[in-house]
Amino acid sequence: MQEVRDPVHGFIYFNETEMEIVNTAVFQRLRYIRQLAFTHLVYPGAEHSRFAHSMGVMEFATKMFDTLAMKGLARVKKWNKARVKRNRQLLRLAALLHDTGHAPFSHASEELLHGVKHEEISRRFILSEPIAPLINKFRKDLSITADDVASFFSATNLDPDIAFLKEIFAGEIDADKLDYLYRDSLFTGVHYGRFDYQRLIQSLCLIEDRDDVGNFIMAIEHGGLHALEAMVLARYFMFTQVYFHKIRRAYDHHLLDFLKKYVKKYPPSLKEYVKCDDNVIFSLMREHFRDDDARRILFRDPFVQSFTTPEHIDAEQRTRFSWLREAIGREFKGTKIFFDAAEGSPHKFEKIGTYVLSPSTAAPSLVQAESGIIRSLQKIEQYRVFTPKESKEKVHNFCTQFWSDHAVGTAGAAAASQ
Amino acid sequence: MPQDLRVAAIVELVQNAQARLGKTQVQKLVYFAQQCGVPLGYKYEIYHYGPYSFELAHDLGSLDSLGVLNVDSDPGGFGFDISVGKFAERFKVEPRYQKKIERVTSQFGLNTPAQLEVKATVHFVHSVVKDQVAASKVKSEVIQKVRALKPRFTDTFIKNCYSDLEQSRWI
Repeated sequence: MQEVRDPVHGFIYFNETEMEIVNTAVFQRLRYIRQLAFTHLVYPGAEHSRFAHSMGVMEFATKMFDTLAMKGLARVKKWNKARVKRNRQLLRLAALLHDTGHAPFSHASEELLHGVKHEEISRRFILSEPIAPLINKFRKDLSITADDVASFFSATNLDPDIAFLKEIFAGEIDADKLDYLYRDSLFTGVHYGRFDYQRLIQSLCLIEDRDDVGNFIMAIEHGGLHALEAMVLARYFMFTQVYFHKIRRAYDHHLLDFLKKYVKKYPPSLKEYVKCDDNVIFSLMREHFRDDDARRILFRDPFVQSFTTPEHIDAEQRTRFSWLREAIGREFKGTKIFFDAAEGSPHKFEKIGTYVLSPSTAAPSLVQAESGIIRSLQKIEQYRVFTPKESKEKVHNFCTQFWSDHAVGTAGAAAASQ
Repeated sequence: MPQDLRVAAIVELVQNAQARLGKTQVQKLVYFAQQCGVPLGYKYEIYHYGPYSFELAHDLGSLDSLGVLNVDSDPGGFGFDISVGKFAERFKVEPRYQKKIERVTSQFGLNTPAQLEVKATVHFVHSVVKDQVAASKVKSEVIQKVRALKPRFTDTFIKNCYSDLEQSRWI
């Protein structure tokens, strides 16, 4: 057993083989992939990497599994002791390895992955040297193989245990979300991203589906409702303040434009891909420092926001922005401009449903029905116009004038809609 | 905003279904629409109630926000009730896909959620297994795997679902 000190969890413990996996080049690469791309240029503390996050997801997944185990997981799933032990280890491995396929700068450059998502690259890493032989060390005692762990990331998985375990690290209230929210909040210093995760995990339970007797799904005891609301609010604020921050969005744009010019696609071979990390891309930018996008990142001179809609817009404002976009194209030919659409529903439980046990009847009901706070939150949908600093005023004046001239009921709106 | 064909197909399926729809049913109807040639491009995997697309789940949320669908908690607070919204009329399916969608709603529109769940699971498992075992063993292998995924359904129920799909040439 070895331990690693972690700012979110205190200590995270690893068995010998897990530590061997951590020591591979595939996993060590995650040290050099920032969790939040260029967010550290806005919030200087946000230098944390996928490395610590992956360990944190393993720890959260284990805590969630152990809580469910205490509350009768084995009994309702009809798992014997050996199966519980196997599934716990299986979950830990999948959680630990889930992000190994991430591209440099995390999600910001995923577009260059040959039409696949990073989970597919994680699956390929799991099935290849050096990870697969290490996982196969669990075959003798726990009947775990690399194929089993890879099934977590395969659309054709037919193993019911894996389908259930996947919910713990990639479901509605999952270990991935708990870790990234808490860790991102801690490192950015954005305090309202924190929430009482201990209470939330402690209140996890299993309920029998009302319409589907014999099928058990995860739910929250009523005592955990406020912790769940706090998590939803944390997510909501992290979206508006960090993930959708205007300067971070501008850097993402410059990064992607730079990569499209100088990298085009990441190498399909795992041997080459494992060498791709943030540092390699930074070196490439230094090499091409005269390139406009590289220069703007290296010398912190990103495009600036010249106009933005409110964070929550209605159908009329959405249409008005599309008119504005066309008008900008006509008015500012030759000026470099980009448009950004930030959309997200961090408060929504979009999957089958997340259930809370009612305090009076102990019957499950949808979290939306139980929580006024969650019901009242709206989808974030914000459109922005970015320009170089020197064009900001001109574009800003044009946009604000256009926006008010084309508001509902104005002559401008009537003309544009014809 | 999801692509127009996706929106139009979802609207058409919700509009034409003859039963009350929740999220599970919409997931399965879209699954079958895709299987019979409407190119919606959703990736499905096995989840609580059979084949499930996370991207479609996200799209249903977006369409609710945009007023194309209404996704409400049902009065009992357990499931969802999905119906078309005030902006649904703007989206029409091209005639070449209309017949395919009609095939789905006429075949599955009156199915219970349990039937839809098992039929879609049978179909999904069949699509994976058919390339892995000899043709003569496909049926027994599919039924065995569906039993493992859905232990609460009886063999007879699963076999009936398999036969229905076979007779109507879905598998």
